[in-house]
Amino acid sequence: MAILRDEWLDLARKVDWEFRYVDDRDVFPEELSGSPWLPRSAWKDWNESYRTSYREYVANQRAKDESVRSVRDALDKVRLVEGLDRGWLQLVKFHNGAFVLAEYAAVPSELRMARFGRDAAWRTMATLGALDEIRHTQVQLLVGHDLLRLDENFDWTHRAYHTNEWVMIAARHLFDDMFVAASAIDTAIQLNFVFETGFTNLQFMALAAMADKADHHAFEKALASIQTDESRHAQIGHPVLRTLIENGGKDRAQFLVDKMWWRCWRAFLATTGTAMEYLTPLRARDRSFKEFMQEWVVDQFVKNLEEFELDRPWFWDLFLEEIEFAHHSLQLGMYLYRTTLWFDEPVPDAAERQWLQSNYPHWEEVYGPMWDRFDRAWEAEGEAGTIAYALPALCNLCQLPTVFLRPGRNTACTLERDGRKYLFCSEPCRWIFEREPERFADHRSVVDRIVAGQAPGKLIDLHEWMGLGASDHKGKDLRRGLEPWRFVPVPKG
Amino acid sequence: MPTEYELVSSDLHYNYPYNFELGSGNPVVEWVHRHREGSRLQAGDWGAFADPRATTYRSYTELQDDKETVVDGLLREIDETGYDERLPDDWVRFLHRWYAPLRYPAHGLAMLAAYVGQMAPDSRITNCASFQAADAMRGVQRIAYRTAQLGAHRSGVDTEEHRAFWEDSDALQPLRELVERALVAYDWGEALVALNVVVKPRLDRLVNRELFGDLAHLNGDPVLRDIHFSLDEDAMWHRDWTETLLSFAVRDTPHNAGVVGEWVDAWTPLATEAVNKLAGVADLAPIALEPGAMSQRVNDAAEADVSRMLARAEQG
Repeated sequence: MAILRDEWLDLARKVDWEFRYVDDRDVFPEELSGSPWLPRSAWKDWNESYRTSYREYVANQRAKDESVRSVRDALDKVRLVEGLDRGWLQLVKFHNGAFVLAEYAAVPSELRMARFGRDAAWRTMATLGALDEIRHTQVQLLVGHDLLRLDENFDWTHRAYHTNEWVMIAARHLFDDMFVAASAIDTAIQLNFVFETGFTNLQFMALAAMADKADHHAFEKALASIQTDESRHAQIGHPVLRTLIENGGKDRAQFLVDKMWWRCWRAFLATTGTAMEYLTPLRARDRSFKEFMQEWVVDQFVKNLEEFELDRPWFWDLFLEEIEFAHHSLQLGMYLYRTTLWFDEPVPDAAERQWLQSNYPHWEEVYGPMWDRFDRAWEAEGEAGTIAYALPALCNLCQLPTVFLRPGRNTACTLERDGRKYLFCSEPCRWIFEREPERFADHRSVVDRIVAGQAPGKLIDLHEWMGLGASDHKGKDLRRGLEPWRFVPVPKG
Repeated sequence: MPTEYELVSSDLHYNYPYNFELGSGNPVVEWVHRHREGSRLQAGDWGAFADPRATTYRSYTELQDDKETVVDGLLREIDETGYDERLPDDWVRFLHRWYAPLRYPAHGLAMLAAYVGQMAPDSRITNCASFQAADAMRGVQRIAYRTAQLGAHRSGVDTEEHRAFWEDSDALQPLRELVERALVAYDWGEALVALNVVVKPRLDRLVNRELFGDLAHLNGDPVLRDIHFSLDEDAMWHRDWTETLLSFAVRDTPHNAGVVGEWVDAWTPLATEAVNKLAGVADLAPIALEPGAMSQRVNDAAEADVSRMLARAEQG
């Protein structure tokens, strides 16, 4: 009679032993294992809800990959890919650049938990988490590579994280803080609990639903398949959080959750929010970003908080207000600064404006006039009148332009420390900085670097510095395309 | 046209070298800089290394699923032929005493591979170490499975005893010391050399080919040898990618030969002792094998690995 998994798996999961020749503190240094440093006994009941064995893992994952590959092979015909909506392709370029190497950055972080997590079951789950992230990287690198034939800028799938393009600086700042330069405990709470349990559903499942409607089935299949792995390793967060809270670490837990909630919100409104509502073709828009946030992210997060008897973050009311406006505000900046992006941005057309107004009752009133101005500027001056010639003010925490909350209500604030002045887009960003200044104070935004002479001040040189050298690598107006003035000199013939 | 392996595994660590975005005032960053960029093992371009097996996630899951299918078949043979009922009682006791506790050091090897992976300066190395950490998990789980499977046929087996055997048996203490000390060897290059050049070439052979290979077969437990043959296939790849990596590192930066040599010299005595002590239990099996000859075979083979790697580095 074959034995059931539960009859043997515990022998393999719970394999901690007392060290004799070295000290616990040497094997699990606090800076890598995490704070507070609890006694070994505090961790012994660490348990994952969803168990799996190595044998099941390799079988299941092999089948998943075969399924993704077969869809990719079947649908990779040139004519199918060429038919994709041009705005949708920009979304895919954006997603690829912003997320793919972040997946890989999570590999060493999962391995950090696989080595420095304080319970063997945690370490075992994190090892599978590391493999999952290798998978996510590799599948998406292949999807990106397939699309190169359509658009050279799909090479940003690989190179984005190696550049100093400003969105990528914001991404690295976020991910370094969240897990790349974080202890095992902090990684479990910030990455697994907040980011993965909370937000990645939005990026992967919502996008998959829209990819389906945009007829981009290879991408859809890849995203949906990726998300099935997520719930397995995202579950690492819960037992770590529970252990921390049960052992006097509630304040720390609340801080990490609050901080990372805000940072994830900023990241998602900037990427998913703007892309969903300005790059996705109307026919593929399942729901509004606001509705996705409410159903998939907010409700789930509130339930999770209740489960752990954690409070809602102190900035909750501001966050709820931001859902209505923040990504729309940022989009204006994304359009104006489109030459500093590696993908194109549109001016919303009449039908799109109608959709936006029907989902966001204040949209026309607040944003309509700004977009009207862009349209008029195109007519009067051509592209030259619709782009920026210098960088905007950037937040010294999230690294985004300080455009929040919305035109007419700006939440920017400052701080002075050791003779240096810091700018923030909002109180929560400043609060995060103030709580751990040594972690953030030495960092320089792109604007700081220009002021310090570490980056060129002229935008034309700054593009080069950001990795956007050639004129057709820079973002352009999605519908109007390249204007002749961009070529220096103007090409003949 | 790049291969799939090249497309998906090249140059993926954005923060190497010295390129964290939040690079200062952060103890994790300081640790990484100290033990990764600051390692005694240095190379001009680690990205020039390629896994000889060109392992991708897809190829890994396919390969390992197939291997696990083989092992599933062996375990099914055990279940369906009454194999465990026929095993000699004193061999089963031997396994309870000396085989079951090995899941602890096997997990230690997984932790060590996870350290190498998180600290490696290039994504191709991180990938190899990650897959190796998963292979180590495979080993832990197969030992655990077999232990539970045997336990189901023998009443009164107390799995709680296994940890005490690991922590208290004289024969296992040098191995325990070896694993525990390796766990705090934090220079990433030293961790790699200790784990994959000194410890595993010995331990893998001793466990997979000798004690739970030939000795098992001798004692009427041939299926255990077959299971460990499958696990040993993983071990051979671990040696293979490491040899490729280190011979590249030495060709790239000849000074590395001395560095690797020093680490080998530092770790070999304890590793040799660990083998000698653990091989001693071969004498306690119902049908015994001579421990001295066994440990000689294992230690000699491990040393030959090192010589071959250095010779390969010189040939270029």
